[in-house]
Amino acid sequence: MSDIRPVTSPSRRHVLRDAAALTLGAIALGGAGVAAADAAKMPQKAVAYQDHPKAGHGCNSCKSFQPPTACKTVEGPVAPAGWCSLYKSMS
Amino acid sequence: MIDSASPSGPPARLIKAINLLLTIIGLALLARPAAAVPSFAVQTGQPCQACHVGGFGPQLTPYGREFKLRGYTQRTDNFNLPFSAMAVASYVNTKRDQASPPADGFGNNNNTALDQVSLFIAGGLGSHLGAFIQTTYDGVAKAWSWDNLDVRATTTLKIKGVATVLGVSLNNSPGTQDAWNTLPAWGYPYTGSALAPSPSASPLLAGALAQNVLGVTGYAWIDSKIFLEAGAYGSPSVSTLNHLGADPFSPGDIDGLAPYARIAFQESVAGGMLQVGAFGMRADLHPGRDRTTGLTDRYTDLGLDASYQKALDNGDVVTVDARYIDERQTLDATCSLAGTPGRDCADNHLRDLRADASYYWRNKLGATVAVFDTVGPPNATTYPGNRTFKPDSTGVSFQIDGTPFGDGSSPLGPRFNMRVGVQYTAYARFNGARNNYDGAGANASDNNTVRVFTWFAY
Repeated sequence: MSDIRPVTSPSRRHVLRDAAALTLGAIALGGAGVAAADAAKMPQKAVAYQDHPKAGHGCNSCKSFQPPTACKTVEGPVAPAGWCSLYKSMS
Repeated sequence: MIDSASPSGPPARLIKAINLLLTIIGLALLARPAAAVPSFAVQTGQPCQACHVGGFGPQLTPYGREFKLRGYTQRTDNFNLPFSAMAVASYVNTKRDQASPPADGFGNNNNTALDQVSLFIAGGLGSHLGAFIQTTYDGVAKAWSWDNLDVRATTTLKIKGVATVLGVSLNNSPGTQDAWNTLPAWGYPYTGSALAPSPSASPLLAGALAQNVLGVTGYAWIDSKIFLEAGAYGSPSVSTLNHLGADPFSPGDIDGLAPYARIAFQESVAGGMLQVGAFGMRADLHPGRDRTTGLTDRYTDLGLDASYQKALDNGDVVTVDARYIDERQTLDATCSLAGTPGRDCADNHLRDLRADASYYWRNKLGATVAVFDTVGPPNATTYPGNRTFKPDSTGVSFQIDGTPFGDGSSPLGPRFNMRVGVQYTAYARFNGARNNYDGAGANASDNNTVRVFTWFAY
């Protein structure tokens, strides 16, 4: 019977306390302004960004484009002639 | 004797601790300036197809995964309430009439039902908090219950110049917090009917714990490439689950906490996104919450998964998903309760392989093919209804569907979306055999199922 496991009671309290601390830590880090990255914008790789047009569409005709080289929704500088999967025409 | 989990027992403490956590999060929300809390599509200013392959359903694009892993926080300057609704209805036909009606009020075959109606609170608040909270009316069981829960706190850091998302998820189903559609929680077929026959054996991670547990996981999403996650799950009390509309006794409650871990690697390959990963969980359960034996059933699930998704130049999307779960079972409690203690009964092994591939034309018309194979050694105690006492089930599934408004072009407004589809599932083996699997003459192919469904979201 030695290989049969008895009922055990590991401490949920400690694990959950640690999880709560982790949650609060994440919030605190954000609240303290430690985050240097812009969470409101998506990485270019997540939106299939390319530095050239696709099917005649480019960033400079997209609703999210912020001249000269920024975007409301995508990180980093973007090329006016670039394109990504979130492209939405201004027209 | 069934333990009713007194308020002073461990499950009650778990709930108290999680309630405390929710209260803290709630206070943090209240302390923040008023911010936009729209539903996801309005919040992001994007149509459904930006986040979802085929413009509908849970299959996420790389952008959708990123949105989820960043805690549902990404937004434009839109403003909306974070409420949504969904309904699914279907018609189900099996090749041969089922032996008995699959649910009260339904027939042995050719059933039409409102499968479910769901209401959601789904949105982000500020830059660090977000939630996906679903409650569902089951049109077959005719009852409301809580459904998927995923409340997140995230922050984005630069660590040695590498963008890293750190997050914590409070959720009620292992894998529901996952961003890939390879794990069972969000895997194909994405929608199903309780009126269709289904094999009796599946790994614990394939839904048995869904909405019967609560867990907290912490994760790091590094450079949008590497995902690391660890956490643990516990069981709420009987009274809590009763209040939430869940069955507290199936499959039972977790003894202590069940650890869960997940790793994944994602990278652009050949113009698409390739992902490979692994996941695992170990849970000691009191089957049916019965503690009379002083023993538990131990489930150790280890899995591998992979996916590939590519958006073609013409706007079509190709996806492939696969997973393999190896489950070791040590069913000391179940076998003792059944009066068949010993290793021959207790030691079990389940291997479950799934794969699917889909092609979506212009995010409007989709075709999917999937295969599944569950195998394991015979066990007369755990599979008494199977003539061979084996859990084996093997088959193939097809789906074609249409989603006309995934680009936000619905005449009822950009929030309205719908999908209609047909599924066909064919079994080569069912509950242990191809022929006469139940000892009463039923064949696996008798369960071949056609399901026509409609799916609405607003």
